[in-house]
Amino acid sequence: MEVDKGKGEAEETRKVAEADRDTVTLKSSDGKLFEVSKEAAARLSTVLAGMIAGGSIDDNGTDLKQIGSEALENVVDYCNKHANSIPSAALISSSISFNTAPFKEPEEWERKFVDRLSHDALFDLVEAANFLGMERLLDVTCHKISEMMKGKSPDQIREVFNIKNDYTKEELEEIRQELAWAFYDD
Amino acid sequence: MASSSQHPRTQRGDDGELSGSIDALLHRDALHEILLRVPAKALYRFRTVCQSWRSLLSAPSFVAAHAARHGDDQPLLAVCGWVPGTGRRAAEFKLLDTLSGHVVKRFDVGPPSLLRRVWSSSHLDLVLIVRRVDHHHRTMRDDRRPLSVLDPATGDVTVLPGGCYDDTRTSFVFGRVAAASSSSTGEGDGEYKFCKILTVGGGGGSRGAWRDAPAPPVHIKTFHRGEAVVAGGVVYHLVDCSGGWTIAAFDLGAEQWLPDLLHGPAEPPAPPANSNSREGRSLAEVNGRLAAVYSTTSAMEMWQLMGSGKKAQWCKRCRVLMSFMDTECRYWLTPDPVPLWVMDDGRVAFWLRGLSQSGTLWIYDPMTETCTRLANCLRMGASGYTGSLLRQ
Repeated sequence: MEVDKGKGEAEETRKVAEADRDTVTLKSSDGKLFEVSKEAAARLSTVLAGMIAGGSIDDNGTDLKQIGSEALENVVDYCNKHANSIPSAALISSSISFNTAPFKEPEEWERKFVDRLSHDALFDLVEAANFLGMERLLDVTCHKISEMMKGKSPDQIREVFNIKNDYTKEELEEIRQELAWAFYDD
Repeated sequence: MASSSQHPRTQRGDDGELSGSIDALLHRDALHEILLRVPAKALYRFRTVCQSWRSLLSAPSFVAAHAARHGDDQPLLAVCGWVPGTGRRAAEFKLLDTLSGHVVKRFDVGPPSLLRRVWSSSHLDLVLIVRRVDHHHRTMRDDRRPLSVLDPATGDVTVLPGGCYDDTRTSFVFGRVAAASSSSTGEGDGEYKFCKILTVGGGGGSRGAWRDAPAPPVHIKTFHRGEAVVAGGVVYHLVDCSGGWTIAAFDLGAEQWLPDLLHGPAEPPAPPANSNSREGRSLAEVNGRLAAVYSTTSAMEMWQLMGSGKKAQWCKRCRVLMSFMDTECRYWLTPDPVPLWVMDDGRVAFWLRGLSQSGTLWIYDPMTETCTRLANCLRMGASGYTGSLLRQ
């Protein structure tokens, strides 16, 4: 997002950028670079906050070898959207008690944000959020997946998660009998 | 600049373990995060997905983390007991937190000598209080009338029309009609050849007057606890418990007795530990469902009726080992545990009816096979409570 600025102001921005940039550059496993607001990154990710505070941020692109470019793009997108939606006083006060507070329902924009993702992209984003210590993004993505799991049979779950059934017929029958009550809806 | 990839790597505990199989899409810790957010009942089903899910989902650390996160989904336990320090001259109704046993809310319910029964059941946000008719004050004061309804959300007590009846030959059941948002109180009278019904509104007030309901298909002695329970808008009455459970059922919504008698679980219960041990069969309402209970002095087994209509089926739900309570049970004439609630983490809340007015509320933990005493209670009341206390 380029914004026209007066000459003096631009000079000032450059000086600030040299001394203390207000964005950080992140590098995906496949070498793509993404820029994200330093403030949002530090606020939303405990790992990035630690790296920023510890000075282990690389101006040429901080390597995140575990995160692919699609997932990293979503992470950055989420951070930017979150930064834009933050003026709400309610969110600021609630973010203080994030760790102890019970799960807060996703905001409308967060819901839309995860709804447009494919299964694979969603799973990758959970991994990325978990890796980066992004509690809220982890909450929102996991919430979405747990909603998808509701009412699904074990067969359907195996399909979604690409899991092989490693029970023998007898074992499965035994557990099913033991847990028969759980196969009825409330 | 320090190597930036060092920091995140140490966050993961890089075990590289995959969930389910080598092709699975998620690492175990990400999967852990997702499953923590899934309701407990679905998780029991998902134990059949694969072996590694089963071991993850049944690990005590996962169970504890899940219970902590979903603590608000648990019911409160409702008990009626004596107010400490009053020499058993005053009774109180309390709602207890199932995890800590702390009192969340309490109400005075008058002198215990007048209480016959306090009926609260899960999925019912009102509590029915049945008092003895005080013949000296019979028609004089509202608070001496036999039936009143307490709303634990507001503390309001509403007196219900009692009508004229013989105190000693009438008993009551109180339950919620499945479809509507009202509660009904059934009254059996005389030799229980007839029933009456009163509808109670959401706020606790009665709607209309007592009206007649059809007579039961079989002879019914009383609606006492253990013999009659209400679950899902149906009153279940244990007609015969010799060698099994034979049950008559009254649909509160349709105001009709079900034409056929129901039968309890066919699965034979484990025999008593020794041949001298007494055994008992009863009904209970557990997690809002009808439960058949078989108990000896050493264990209690419980089945729940799952599904509905013709597809309804008894499913074994829990076994509570009671042998540890030898000292407690020695004074009990018959083993008489009443299961109230099976928690998501497998713990079981139940109360033991004692002699006279006494009773105790217990929590059984299957992981340690031990019981913890949570509260003392009067004979007439303990149950799960799922109503919201936030309702205004």
